[in-house]
Amino acid sequence: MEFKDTQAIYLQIVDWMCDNIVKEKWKSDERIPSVRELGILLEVNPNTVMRAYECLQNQHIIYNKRGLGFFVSEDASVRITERKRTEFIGQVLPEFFRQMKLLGISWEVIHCEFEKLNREEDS
Amino acid sequence: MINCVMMKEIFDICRFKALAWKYYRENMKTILIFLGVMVVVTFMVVCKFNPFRMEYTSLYTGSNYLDRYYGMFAKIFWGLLGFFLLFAASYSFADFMSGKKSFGALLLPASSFEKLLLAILNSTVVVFLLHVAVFYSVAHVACSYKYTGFKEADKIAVAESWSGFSYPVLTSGAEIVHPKVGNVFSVVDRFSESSAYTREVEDGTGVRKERTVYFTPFVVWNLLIMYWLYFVFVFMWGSITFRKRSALLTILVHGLFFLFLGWLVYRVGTVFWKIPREEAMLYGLYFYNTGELVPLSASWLLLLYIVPLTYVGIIWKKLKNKQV
Amino acid sequence: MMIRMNQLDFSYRKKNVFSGLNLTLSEGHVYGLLGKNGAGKSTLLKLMCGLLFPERGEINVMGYLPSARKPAFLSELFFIPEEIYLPDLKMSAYAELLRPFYPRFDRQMLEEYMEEFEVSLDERMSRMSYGQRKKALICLGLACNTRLLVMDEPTNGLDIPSKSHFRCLIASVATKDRCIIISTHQVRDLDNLIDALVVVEESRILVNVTTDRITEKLVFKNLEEDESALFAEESVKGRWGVVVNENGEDSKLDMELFFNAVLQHPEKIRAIFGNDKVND
Repeated sequence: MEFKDTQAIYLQIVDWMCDNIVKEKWKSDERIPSVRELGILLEVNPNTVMRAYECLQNQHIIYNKRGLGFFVSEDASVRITERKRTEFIGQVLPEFFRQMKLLGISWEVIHCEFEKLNREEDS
Repeated sequence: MINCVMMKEIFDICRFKALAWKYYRENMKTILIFLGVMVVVTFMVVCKFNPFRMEYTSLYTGSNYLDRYYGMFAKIFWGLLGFFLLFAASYSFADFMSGKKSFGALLLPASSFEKLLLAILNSTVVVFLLHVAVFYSVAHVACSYKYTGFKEADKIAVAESWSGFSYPVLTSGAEIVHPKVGNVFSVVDRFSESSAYTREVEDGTGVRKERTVYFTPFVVWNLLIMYWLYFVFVFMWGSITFRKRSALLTILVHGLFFLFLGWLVYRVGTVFWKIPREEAMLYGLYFYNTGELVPLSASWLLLLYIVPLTYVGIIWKKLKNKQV
Repeated sequence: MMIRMNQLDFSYRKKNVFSGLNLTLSEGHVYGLLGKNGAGKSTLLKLMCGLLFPERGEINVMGYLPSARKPAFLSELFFIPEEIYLPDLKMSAYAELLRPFYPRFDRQMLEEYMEEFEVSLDERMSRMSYGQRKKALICLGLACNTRLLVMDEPTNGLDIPSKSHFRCLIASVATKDRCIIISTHQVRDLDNLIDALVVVEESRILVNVTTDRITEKLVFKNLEEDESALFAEESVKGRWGVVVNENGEDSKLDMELFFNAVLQHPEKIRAIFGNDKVND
């Protein structure tokens, strides 16, 4: 797997795993690869993979069954969307607003573009 | 081969067997080449010096001439053995000295003692057994090739070779007996109790005396073994000390040591054995008395084993401290 | 604690290589040993293995003194040097010859790894190319399942797909009880496998720290023109550099950048990471 320069590896792994869950490659209550298996697959040190798993566990996107491995939580998709929302509002938006201010783009222009996009999608 | 479960520190028979097997399998090619060289060299030497002239065999033990030149067969045997041992000993630790092979050799999970023991066995027992096998095979082949079909003969004359020493030959028209391949270990008989070694010596005052020394077979065997072990260990020491041209450098270094050894024996001889100065000999094997028969005490001689054993100790120490 | 070096002194041909060197390495990590040419990386590895002896100081590896070369110690260590030697045999035969010496040797693993690397078990190793032989030795070393695995420039000579396979293999053998030490110039080859870095320079260890800790304390990102940095380089992407992480930002560790920063500002780096040892 190709990793970007800009983001910590474990976070990129988290994103990739979330994508898999959302795309239903890994379904609810289904077993996901072990830390070691994923390490081999992605060519990443298992300790780093573990960090990603811990992160996802903390957000209750996956859970651990002792002796059996890691499984996708039932409400994983919901939680992922929640997580992405938080990320969007917490990180993407501030940057977006900053750019807006920097380039002097008003809210009306944004609204206009948004409407344009909706119309294109509908047709 | 299964894993050796018990990991003893210094010597483990299972691990040693694995070490030996690995060595032979890995170096099979080199060993076969060495064997091939042994066969070729032995054959060439045997044909050139032709020890199968009937006079060099052990058949005519009654004849003075034949007794005297009896040793030719043995000389070739021991000479070639020395050559092959020198060669093998000089390369015994070549793998450990430097370069790519050395990491694997030093880090192989076996004790230094086991590695040393294998090197010693290879340079002594293995080469010796190979040499005996090769020599006697070649001897039998050369023997049967050259002289089959001849019958008993009884006419012998004496001729002189280019080096000035006389040897018995067959007169023309005589028939030769079917030669046998001799026994090179009969050198033990030569020096054993039943046949004492007698020499006539001048003692400086014009009086000729007879000196007689007895060696028991036990003594002779030990001297033989000890001498060869020393010889081999010296070159093994060279192998673990010098990275290149170890044989040559060993001889150079020991040239001086042999001189020192000679001086040492001379000093020891003159002080402890009250030997007249002009008669102390380099290798300390001959001890003279004033005409009485003195059997050489075997137990004293075994002390000389200290010399080769010291070398082993030094080699072991060097192996343990080898850095690459 | 897997390896501890205490006040190590070592000279080579009258040149002082290490003096007063201290280093502690733990199991459960894949260490990347970095240093400029001639900084002493290979020497350090050889000291760990007992191929070289220190003049002063102590080395303790897995509880043993490496220079004693006890078989029990040697059977828990596998060293893959830069210049490798393999005999003129098939690997399948050679592996059986080595098996008695390594208690946890796993034949099955060897076959799997060789297959992954696309190296034949039944080809005479003398007929293989350098890269193939290197791969074969790596497979053998991994299959011996030793607790300590030391490699000097393992990816040298490996083609691009093989480097990828190598990463997979390292990922699969990196367990909690094992320690893997890789000395390398090609950090990119092992980017995500290394989880701790040791930088050697001028006879001492400049830093010994986990990658997590590095990304905790430092940030690797695009910088402004005038932003001061520990180290930065100009590129098409702008000014890419490393600065102290004041805002708890997350970034991806750029090992080459980090290495350059360590060499340029060793005191600053030391101040940031203190006497961090990689401990569990």
